[in-house]
Amino acid sequence: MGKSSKDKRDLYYRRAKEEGWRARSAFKLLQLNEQFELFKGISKVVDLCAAPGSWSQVLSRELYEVQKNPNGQIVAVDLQPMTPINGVTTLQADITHPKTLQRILDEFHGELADFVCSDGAPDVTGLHDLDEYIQAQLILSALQLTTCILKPGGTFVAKIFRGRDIDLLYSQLSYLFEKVICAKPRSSRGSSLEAFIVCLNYRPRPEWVPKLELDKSTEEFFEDANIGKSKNLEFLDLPNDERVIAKFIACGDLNDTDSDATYTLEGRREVLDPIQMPTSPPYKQALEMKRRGALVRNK
Amino acid sequence: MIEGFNTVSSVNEDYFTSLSHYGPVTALRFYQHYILCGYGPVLKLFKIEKNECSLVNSQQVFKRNKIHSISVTSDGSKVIIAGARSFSVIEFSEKNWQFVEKAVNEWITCVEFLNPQTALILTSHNIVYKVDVSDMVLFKFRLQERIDCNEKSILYSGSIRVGDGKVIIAAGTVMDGVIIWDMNSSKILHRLNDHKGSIFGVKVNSSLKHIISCSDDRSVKLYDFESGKFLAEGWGHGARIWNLEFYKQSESLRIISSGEDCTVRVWQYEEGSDRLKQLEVIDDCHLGKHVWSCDVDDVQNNMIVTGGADGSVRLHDLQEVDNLADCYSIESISKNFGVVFDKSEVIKNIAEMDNLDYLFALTSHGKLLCLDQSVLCWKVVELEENECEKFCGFAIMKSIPSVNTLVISSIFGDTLVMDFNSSSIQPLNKTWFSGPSGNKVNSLLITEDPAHKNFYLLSDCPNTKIPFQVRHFRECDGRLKFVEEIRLDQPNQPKFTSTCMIYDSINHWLIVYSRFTSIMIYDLNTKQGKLFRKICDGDTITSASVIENKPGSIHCLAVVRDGVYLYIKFTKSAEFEIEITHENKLTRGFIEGGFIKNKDLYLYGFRSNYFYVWNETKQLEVAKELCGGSHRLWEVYFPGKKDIKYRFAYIHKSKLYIKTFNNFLSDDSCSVINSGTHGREIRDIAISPLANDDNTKYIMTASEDTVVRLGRLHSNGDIKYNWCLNEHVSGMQRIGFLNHQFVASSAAMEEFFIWKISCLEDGTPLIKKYSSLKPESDFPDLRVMDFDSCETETGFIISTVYSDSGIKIWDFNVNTKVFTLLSKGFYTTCCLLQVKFLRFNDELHLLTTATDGHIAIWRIENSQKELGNPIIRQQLHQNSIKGVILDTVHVNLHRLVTGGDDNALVLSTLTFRNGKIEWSSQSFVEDAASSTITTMAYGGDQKVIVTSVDQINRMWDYSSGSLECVSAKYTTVADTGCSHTTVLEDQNMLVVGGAGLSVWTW
Repeated sequence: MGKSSKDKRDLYYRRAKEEGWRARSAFKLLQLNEQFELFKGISKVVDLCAAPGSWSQVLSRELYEVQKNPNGQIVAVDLQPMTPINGVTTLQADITHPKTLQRILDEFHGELADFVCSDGAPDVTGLHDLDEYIQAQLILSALQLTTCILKPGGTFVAKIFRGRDIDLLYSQLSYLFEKVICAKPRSSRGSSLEAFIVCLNYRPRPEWVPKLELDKSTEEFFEDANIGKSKNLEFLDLPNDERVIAKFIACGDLNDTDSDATYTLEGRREVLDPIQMPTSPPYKQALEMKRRGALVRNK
Repeated sequence: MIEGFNTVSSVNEDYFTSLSHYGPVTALRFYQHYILCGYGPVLKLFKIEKNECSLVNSQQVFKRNKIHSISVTSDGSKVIIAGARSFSVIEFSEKNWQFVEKAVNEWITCVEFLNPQTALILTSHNIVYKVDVSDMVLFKFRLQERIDCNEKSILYSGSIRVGDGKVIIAAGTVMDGVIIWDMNSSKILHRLNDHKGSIFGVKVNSSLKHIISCSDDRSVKLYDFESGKFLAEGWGHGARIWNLEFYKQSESLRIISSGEDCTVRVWQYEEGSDRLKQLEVIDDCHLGKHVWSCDVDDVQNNMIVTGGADGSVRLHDLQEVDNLADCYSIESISKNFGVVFDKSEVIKNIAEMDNLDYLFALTSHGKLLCLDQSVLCWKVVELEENECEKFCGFAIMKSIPSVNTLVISSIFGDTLVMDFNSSSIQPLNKTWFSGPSGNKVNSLLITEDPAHKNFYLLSDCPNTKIPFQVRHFRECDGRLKFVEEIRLDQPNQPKFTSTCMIYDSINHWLIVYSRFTSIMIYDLNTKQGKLFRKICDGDTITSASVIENKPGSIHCLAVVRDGVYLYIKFTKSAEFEIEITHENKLTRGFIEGGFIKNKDLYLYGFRSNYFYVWNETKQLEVAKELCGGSHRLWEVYFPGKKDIKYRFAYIHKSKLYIKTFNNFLSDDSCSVINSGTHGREIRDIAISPLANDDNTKYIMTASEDTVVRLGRLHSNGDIKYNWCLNEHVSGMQRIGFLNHQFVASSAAMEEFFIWKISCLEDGTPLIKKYSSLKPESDFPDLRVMDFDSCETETGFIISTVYSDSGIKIWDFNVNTKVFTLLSKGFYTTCCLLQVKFLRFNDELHLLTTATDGHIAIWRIENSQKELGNPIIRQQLHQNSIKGVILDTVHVNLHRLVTGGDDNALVLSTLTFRNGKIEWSSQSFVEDAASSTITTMAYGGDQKVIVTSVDQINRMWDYSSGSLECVSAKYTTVADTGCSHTTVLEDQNMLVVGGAGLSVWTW
């Protein structure tokens, strides 16, 4: 979240700065909670792909300040480093690695989590099918860990992009949870394909022991779970995939701020400092070279 | 069956027929004189023959998935194509491929043949499937083995190199750099961790000597294959790099890279240097962003082929990489050709005579030199001493290549006309014409009308009291013959600096263009003229030419240096009148000239330190030269003969450079072997209500990146674009025809434009921004979300709705171009999405939809300035209503079908009864799509076509009073966001837009 730009158009963006959230996405989790009472009775919480940490902030305030839950524990995992948050154990780790799972379990003293969430999104390339695939892989990676750490009856919430094959994911999740809902908080722009799957009441697959292993792909991990994922058929024929349309629920009050609307800001045009500066991109060196004029053409 | 099972993902698919598809080009491969092209799910085969490249076959090979990888067996017998989870193997031939779509349960990163019977499939989990593909009758392919290296990180990219008895896998991971492993031993050979970010491309060359890779960090890195040692890197790309290829045979190690900055770059490795040398940059390969696919053939065809997000496939001439300009300096001409120069003597003028291959140079000391380009020899053209003196210090030299004539004017307008032939560089004849006595001239204009053999020369004095001195010549036996001298009064204004002129032989009119976009037109019959001052924004009109003329009217092209080009129509009944019929901006830099060739508009000029030639119709750069920028002496020639395409001569750092662009293919425009649409997602589509004489309809499309395009839709589904309009500066929202002549478009930053369409005699459409709404705020940030219109006697009533919930109703007068606000109001504070006019009992009403899932209806009264409250406000959806179809049954009854972000479809009615409008629900489908309904189009006879981002078009019939899905079929266009239906030649047509366009019929 940078210093300038979208301040005016996006009230949530501004409100996030005012209320001390590291990203406007905090409101998405708050609105999901309003609708589904996600935080009711939870103690052990895992926040995946957590950086910069706005969901962990929400969870921290909820568990420690609102509920004052003495058993409350939050573990936030991300590949990127994160600025510490009160009461949140941050792990800079890979969510697909078995060691990460062990570290969380150690943190919880062997107890299972009540709530796992992920607000992660990969960088998009612009090739829609590839981007959707990578996003689906990210959700499956989060789901792998979730099946290993979530208590039966627990809740899983993750960011999705509603594309052409989202009904495959809905189908697979329907095998693992009693209820799978596609939720769209009012703070998520209507013009964006972003939504959240809210998966309630985890029902572990009978006779399946999920096990994270280093040399297993996500496909192999779920191979024996029988969650309706298509397998390699004889002669490698094209399978007919199982597709399910999840129930859609728009959440947040319709009269609450509309993330698509333009608001006039009377007399409060001062620019607020961001809560957290953006991290350095992989192309940082290229940008520096460009500034120095070192990218000039040398024909 | 699980609850909520998707019953509408495929229904009666044969109901619809797909006519055409335009979208991202996802894979390209040269094979001998063929190009295999993965055009989304369609495989296209192009053949290169005799300087032409043509499509020989095109078939959709995958139902849903896009082709990302193509490979041909070494014996050329088979082709494997793969993308997402799908793959197919076909026998290589020019027509009708037999195939069965196959699949593995993981994303396929790339495919290769081990031998003609065995395919290797690398999945995104870094696993290789070895598949027996020998059965080409029943296509019973057998998975023989799954091989991995015990590292199953997710791959963004990868390649398989089969050679020398080895199979080497190069894996580009999302997070862990590059892994090079040997398939036969399953051993990891190298881990290359120098890149930052995800690896988007990695290849091993055919001799297993080098590895190249690229990533999110925008660099290309070269490694030694044997040792895995880093050798060199190349920086230059301005965004992510998607593709890398090795030259196949070049003596030095060369690499091409392409990516998100829409460039292709050619790199050379020079041993000992850790920097790759960038030999060539091809900019703007495609519209918008992204070169998604490319390949290089330096063996047979000497070409690069690129495919873009815009759906076009282009060929680039590889020979340009090593094509350097000839360079001469005063010193080298003196040394090599024995020409004696004075100290401080420099070249001041250049002119070319391309039939004879002569290039003339006039020096500051009045010395005339000629370069015979057939033998590359400089000689002095012998002039008398007093002639040289006249040209000392200042002279204007121009050539008339069609008659091998050279014209030189002194500062006082004394003009020497000389003609040449191929036997000698010395003139055959010399004729002197004296200038406007004693007055300095600042320009010499020449115009020719070769068809009628007329030539006019005009000398212009800065003193506007001195008439233009115009000389008429006629061609006679290949030579210019003087006919008469005419004096024309200069325009009556302090300054008129003429820059170019054209002669219209049909009407005998002479048009003189000048700085500050002013134009003087003369009727040579009466010698009377009329001045048109400052016809548009901008500075100098740099070039003009006739497009078409007939008695009483002429249509001409004029280009303005600042980047505007115009089609101007002059007519004369009692007086001269002017109309700009087409106006557009070029965002590429300065325009110095333009011409029309084979119906394509070409423009040329300077962009930063480059000279460019740009085909505006095809949107393609056809030539460029790094020359240092526009501030220099330069000339460009378009001979259109032999092998030479263009010749550009310029002075750079006191040296004369002559760059010859050779012909590549039979014509520049042939280098686009498949035409495309937009470089970014298409946000709206408009189709003209009436058909043109050629049975086409105008189609206009608007994309995210502010671009609006105008073209023609044909009944076979082809869309042929004519223009790419750059008037909008913010993200497009909507475009729509108001009638056959007027179009409106809306965008962010309160942009709302009205355009006027007309056409040339040959049917080429022309378009000009006709009027626009002034933003209300000094810092406009509202998006004009939608508009609707109804025609009046004087123009249109137009409603616009805004992202701040605002609604405005305007009267637009077509004659005065003035908008008058009739009424305005606000809905709530949420963003409005759609607006429609509707009538009850012949009274005008307005219907809106918004992000809060409600429809609202207002009554519009004539005298009412404030819109007030809606008379109906009804929630139909949970959130955004993105599609709305109004179907008028009679004056008091409308059916309404709405589709929303909530996947639901609602049929309801609006009835006017006892002075009140009543809304009532008829039918509701909760799961009408698996994700977001984004657009709807009327399908006729109580049917609607509903499109959603699950990429399915569904036809719903509501004639029974409830919504029934008649057909549901997958569309190959991703991110579907707009649609339009029309009828052309009695055929129902549907155009769906998103990341490309798809045209269907039913």
